Amino acid sequence: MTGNQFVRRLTAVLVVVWGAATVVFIVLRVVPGSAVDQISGLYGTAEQRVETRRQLGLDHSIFYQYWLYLKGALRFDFGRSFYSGRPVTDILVDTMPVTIELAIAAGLIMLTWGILAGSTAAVFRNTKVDVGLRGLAAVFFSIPWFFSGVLLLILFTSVWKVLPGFGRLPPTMTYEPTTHFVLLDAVIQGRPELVWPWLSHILLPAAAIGLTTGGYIARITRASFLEVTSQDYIRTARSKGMTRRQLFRVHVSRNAALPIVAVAGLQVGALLGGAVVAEVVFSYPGVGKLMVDAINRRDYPVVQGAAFVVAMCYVLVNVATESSYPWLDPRLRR
Amino acid sequence: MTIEPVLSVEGLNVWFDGDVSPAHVVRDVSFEVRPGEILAIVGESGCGKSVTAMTLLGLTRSSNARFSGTVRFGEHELLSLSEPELRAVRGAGISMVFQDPLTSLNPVMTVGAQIEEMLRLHLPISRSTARRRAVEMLETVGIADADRRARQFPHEFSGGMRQRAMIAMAMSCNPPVLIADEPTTALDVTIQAQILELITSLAHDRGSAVILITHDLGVVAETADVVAVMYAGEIVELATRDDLFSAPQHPYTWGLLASIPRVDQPRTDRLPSIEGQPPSPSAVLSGCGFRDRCAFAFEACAAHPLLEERSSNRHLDRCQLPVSGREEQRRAIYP
Amino acid sequence: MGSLRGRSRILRQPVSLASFAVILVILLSSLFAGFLAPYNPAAQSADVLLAPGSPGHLLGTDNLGRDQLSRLLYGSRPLLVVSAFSVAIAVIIGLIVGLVAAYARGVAETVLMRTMDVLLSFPLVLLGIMIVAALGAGQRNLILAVTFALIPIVARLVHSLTLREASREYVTAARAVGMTPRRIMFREIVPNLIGPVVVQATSLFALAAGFASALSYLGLGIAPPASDWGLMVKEGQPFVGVALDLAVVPGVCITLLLTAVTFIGDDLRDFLDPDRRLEGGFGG
Repeated sequence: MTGNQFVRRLTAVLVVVWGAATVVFIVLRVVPGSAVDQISGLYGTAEQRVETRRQLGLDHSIFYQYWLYLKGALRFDFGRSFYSGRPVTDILVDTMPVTIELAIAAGLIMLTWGILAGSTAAVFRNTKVDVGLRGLAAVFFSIPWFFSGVLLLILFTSVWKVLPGFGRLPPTMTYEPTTHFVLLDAVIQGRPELVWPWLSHILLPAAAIGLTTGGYIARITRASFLEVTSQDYIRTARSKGMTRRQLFRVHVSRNAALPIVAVAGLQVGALLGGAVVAEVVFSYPGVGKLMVDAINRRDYPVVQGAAFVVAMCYVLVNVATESSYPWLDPRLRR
Repeated sequence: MTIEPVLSVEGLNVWFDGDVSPAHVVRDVSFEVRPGEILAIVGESGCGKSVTAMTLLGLTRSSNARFSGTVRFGEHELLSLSEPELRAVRGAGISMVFQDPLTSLNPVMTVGAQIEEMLRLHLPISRSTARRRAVEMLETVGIADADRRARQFPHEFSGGMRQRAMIAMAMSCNPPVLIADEPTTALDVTIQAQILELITSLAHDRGSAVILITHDLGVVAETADVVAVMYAGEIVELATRDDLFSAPQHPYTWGLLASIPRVDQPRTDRLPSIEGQPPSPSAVLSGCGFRDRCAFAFEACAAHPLLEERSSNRHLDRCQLPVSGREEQRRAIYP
Repeated sequence: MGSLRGRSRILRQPVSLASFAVILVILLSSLFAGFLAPYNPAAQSADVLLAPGSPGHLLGTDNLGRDQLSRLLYGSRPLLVVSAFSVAIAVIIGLIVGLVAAYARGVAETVLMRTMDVLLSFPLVLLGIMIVAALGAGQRNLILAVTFALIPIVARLVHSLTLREASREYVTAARAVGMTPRRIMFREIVPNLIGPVVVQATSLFALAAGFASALSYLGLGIAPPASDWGLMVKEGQPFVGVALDLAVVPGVCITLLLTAVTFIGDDLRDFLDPDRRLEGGFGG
């Protein structure tokens, strides 16, 4: 990518991130019926209302508030939680990695099952296998995340009591985070006994998200494979004397991958959204659960900080995905 | 004096099973090609010429296709080869150049890599040797700055260059037979001549036989040594190029020749064309397939004519009209 | 190839019919819930708590003694209402935004489309959560939240389609004849957008419904004691040991609805957009 393009890309990203931050601000501060009344409603006297306003920084003009907010956001300083008093940033450092782990795990499940199902359906095109898989994918994709979570919960914790139903690690297990990512910490801290409990806890929520979003991936994979195999260059490659396996490995997969990557990148938003819901279903201590709890407690700084960070993650992933397109498809270079 | 043909097709039939009835797309086609010779198969769209070509390489094999006849290539009978055996023939024995070089090349692989792939499929050479030879092939077909070009992608080439690259790829293993399916149709007129020239010289230099599929009689006149005219899945006329153009025997050929605008004729309002449509491939032919569109059809045409030598040596046609009257009949259509 | 297509169409038929039937059943039962429901869905009854299915209560009762069947019948309403309204409003606003952006070009376009990008930079659920956080829970705000999430999707689609259409020959021809831009937009371009937008609307409906039910599950939608399928799943979750169906049945209903809408959407797409103009594909 040329320097000029990079600068333009960067500015676009910054604009979007700034826009996201502004939206968060607008929605949570400026909208009528906002913070003060909701919180001050709990208190009584006028003096306490004034005090609350000062605490919230609401005694300044809206533009100054905005300025403060932006300054804080740049330093990732979102104030302190109303509920616990802890700096929001610290809370986020504890919870963000959890959600990221979950999203990655879900993404892996999504890609594995989606691509396998889609490519199998394409290979057995128009047979019962194909129709069956497509139907399955459509149904899976239509199951709302929370319901797939509930179903899995029922199945694996009630009917077959195999897996735990809540939390990230067993409550009896101690865990002093270094990187806040369990797998990494297991290596760094030399505690392999962390791995299986962690896995058994993350499996259900990740599956809840991954199996459903994977349905869409399966569809796209199938369509992409079918399109590629009908292309002329496949005919040329066959006329050169390639085996089916070689054809597949060299020509089909490279070309079929392009739309799949594009869609997978878009699905990250769904993964993050799904993670939010799944965390509530499984009481998984990530950012999603954090936000929902914070909303119910009217803990606005937390909601604000969390919303901003999640949005930023999403933007970054989108940028990364879009940047990969020219690398995958030479026609888009230069 | 007769050199052994490198490829000989006898009584080739191809059927595709359809919804209602099978389509008899190639009907009893026979021809042969000799080393260094260029055979042009001419006909309008849908006459079965492309299917014939692809069948030689076994590219039409599928669950709803049926074949009969023989295709002899060296000691092999191609129609009865297994898929692995066919794969050895493809590219190394018989290779093919397709019509649209843009879609026929993989857009995400470099041109050089695709030629290397062909080489390494059939020759036990290392990657660096293959890379070198790929560049050499690109030079041979007249692409300048071949080393840099080999590392580029198909969309960075112009149309003519892409076709040259395809030809380079097809010829890289020195196959005795090259099939070119409408190689110039997708190209500018100015480039067409260059590509034809390239194909011809490559064939002569390396002694490869060329089967050139086209619907353009101009191309045939330029390039071919032998011409087969196909209509509704059958060969209706087979002759040397000179014989075909100087003394065409079949009314369909006359119609084809007549429909080319000529500089030395007075300009008229309409180009002559052949009325009607070719019979559908699922139709069962009773008698001559061209009967319904032929100005000279008579009773004998109700019997299915065979492809035979009727007029002169090595000039076959599938028409029952008395040879003596044909010259005059021809002039009525194609002055 | 014709035989294959014919065969798969036959395979499709029962599915399409079934989907259509499902949607019809849900719509009708929702509409006529008042006639069909044996009980008032909010009516609690202390003597039949968590009862299994019986002649009196076909699908049993929940932990507050409310009749499940009645709750199910009424419970589709919030979902359908929210989804329908959101999609309708989002389509209208998105259409306008997309058209204006595509035709105005320049600064207006950049501003509008960048705003759409910003809105799209939030995972849907997040946007919904934020809006509900600010405005409070409830059906009206739920509609707002869902609409906001959907608008950028429509706007983006309309924008790119309009741009593509505007470069086509029939538009140039219209300009050559002297049509004003607005006339061109409405007379020529919009009719060509209807098809893709309608197809998109069905998948938007599925999206909206999934989204709305998720927010309901989180407690951010219509408040209890109202009946809402998403809410019912949440309310039933603590009782899965005793009465599985309380949580499962509403969830299955939601799934059925979404599956049916998806299949119908597919058929609609095959019918209206056989050339796949909507799916721009990659690199083109």
